[in-house]
Amino acid sequence: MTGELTTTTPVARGVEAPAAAPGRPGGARSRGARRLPPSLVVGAALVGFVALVGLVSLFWTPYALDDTGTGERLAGPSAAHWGGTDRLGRDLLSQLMTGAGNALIVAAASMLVAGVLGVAVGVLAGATRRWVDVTLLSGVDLLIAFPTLLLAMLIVTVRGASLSSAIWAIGISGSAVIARVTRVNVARVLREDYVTAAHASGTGWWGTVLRHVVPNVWPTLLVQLMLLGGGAVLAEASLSYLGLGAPPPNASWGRLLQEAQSTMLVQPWGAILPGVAIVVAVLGLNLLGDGIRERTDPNLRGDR
Amino acid sequence: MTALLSVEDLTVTTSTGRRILDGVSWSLDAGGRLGVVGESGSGKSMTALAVLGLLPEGMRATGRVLLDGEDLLTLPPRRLAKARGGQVAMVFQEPLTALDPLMTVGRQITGPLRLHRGLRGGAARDEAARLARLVHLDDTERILGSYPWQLSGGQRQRVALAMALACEPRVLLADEPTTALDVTVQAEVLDLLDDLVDRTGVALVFVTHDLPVVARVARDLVVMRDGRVVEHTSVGAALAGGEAAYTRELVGAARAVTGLPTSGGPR
Repeated sequence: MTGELTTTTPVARGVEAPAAAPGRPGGARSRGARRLPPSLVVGAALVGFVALVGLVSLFWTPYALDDTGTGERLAGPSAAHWGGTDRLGRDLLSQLMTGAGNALIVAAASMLVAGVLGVAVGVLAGATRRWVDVTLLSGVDLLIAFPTLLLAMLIVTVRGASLSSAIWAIGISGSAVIARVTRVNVARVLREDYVTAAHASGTGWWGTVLRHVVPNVWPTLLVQLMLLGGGAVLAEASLSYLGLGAPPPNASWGRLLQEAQSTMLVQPWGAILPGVAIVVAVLGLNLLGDGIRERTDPNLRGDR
Repeated sequence: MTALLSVEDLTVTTSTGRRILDGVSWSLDAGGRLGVVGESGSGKSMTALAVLGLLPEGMRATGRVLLDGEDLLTLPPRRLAKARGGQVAMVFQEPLTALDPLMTVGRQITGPLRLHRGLRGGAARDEAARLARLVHLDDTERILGSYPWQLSGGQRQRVALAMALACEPRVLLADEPTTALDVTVQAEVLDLLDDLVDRTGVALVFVTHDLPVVARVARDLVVMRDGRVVEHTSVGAALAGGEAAYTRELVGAARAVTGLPTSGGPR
């Protein structure tokens, strides 16, 4: 939507930029008016579409998930069933829609888990004493070396297969990367003069971290979290493919793939549609991450 | 008159045991103006950092830093945080890196106001505007809403001064505050600093390698070399030919390249 608006502004901006726009500071304006990177627009559109479908599925799907209907099994797309039916005669589109909701819930919640855990560990490691740093980083290294699937199986064994088990597994293993990135950037920001200046003006340790370190580290982290989100959708599909995700009758793209595997030659749509859905969601999240990076990374920006 | 801030036998050691400061002692009276000069690496900036307990990790300070008879080096963290900014404030060399790039100037000035004086919302904004006018940042509204990179070097250093003076400190540590500025702006900032010290009565510690600059703003002088104090005297005495050979050498070198006056002190 902003695409049309911004096409006219670069011209205006070129004219008024040297005069530094009276009233509000010129930079803040040109920053808002700069053309959005295409990857950001496309990524946001794809993710927005999947999110919208997922949101709708929470309130309405064409058929109930356990509705085997008139019993027409493995049917191709028709007016009654736009995506066809599976081997039990259930509506495929309804399952795909619910799958979109579940995929995004898992992605968002595991991003949250990874973010909170990773940032906490990263800030502690980057900002405190050397031995804390070394201890925490060894833990992070261990976690990075530990396969997500193995961790997921461990958690499923303890808690049983469910959406929340998948969230914890993906979130915890993702937190290792976030912790790494946070630590490096926190250590970098802590060496900046403005942090020393903040200490010199009496700001305490936590005050400095919240006021200066977190905001300056945040853009990098946001990108990392978005990329993690793409990985999380894939991981959720893998887990449910293996039966470690949400149990039936709840739907998941991974399980749809697994169920369609044996009937792929009879009704290929059952495999194609969830596959396309996964690609769209992962691509969207990755593009969104790239787009945010292009917009926030000073090294990729021409104006500083 | 007892000193407001006195540094006694301050020694800073790195983790490898190297002494960066070695038995540094000087004192500053209320309303005094002390210049700390020396070549790069003489430990003058380190002295300023050590006073506020802002040494880089791994360095240890011994000796005493007495503010009103209270030793800042042994103060518990909470009380030290209160003294930092509230009692002793600091201005840094490079005003661009000393300001947070993601925060508007207005928010950075109100930070210490909230912290030390409990001002919030409108009251803090009004006070920030008053401080901006105090450091001659005209066009106050626009400047307070700007980010540091939208301002000129001189404006940034004025912002840093406003932040430092926000909580009416009793001592202002200025670490080469004009070195990163070009000559005309430097003169403006020096005049401003001079004027501010006069008006607010804050005691000034001015760290620089630039003798003509120090001759302009300081009354007393500490000459440092290799982490030691070579001489602690008045600016006038140093310019007339200090006691230590090194001071005479510095003065002679400065006189050869600039128009250093033969007698000094603030006009």
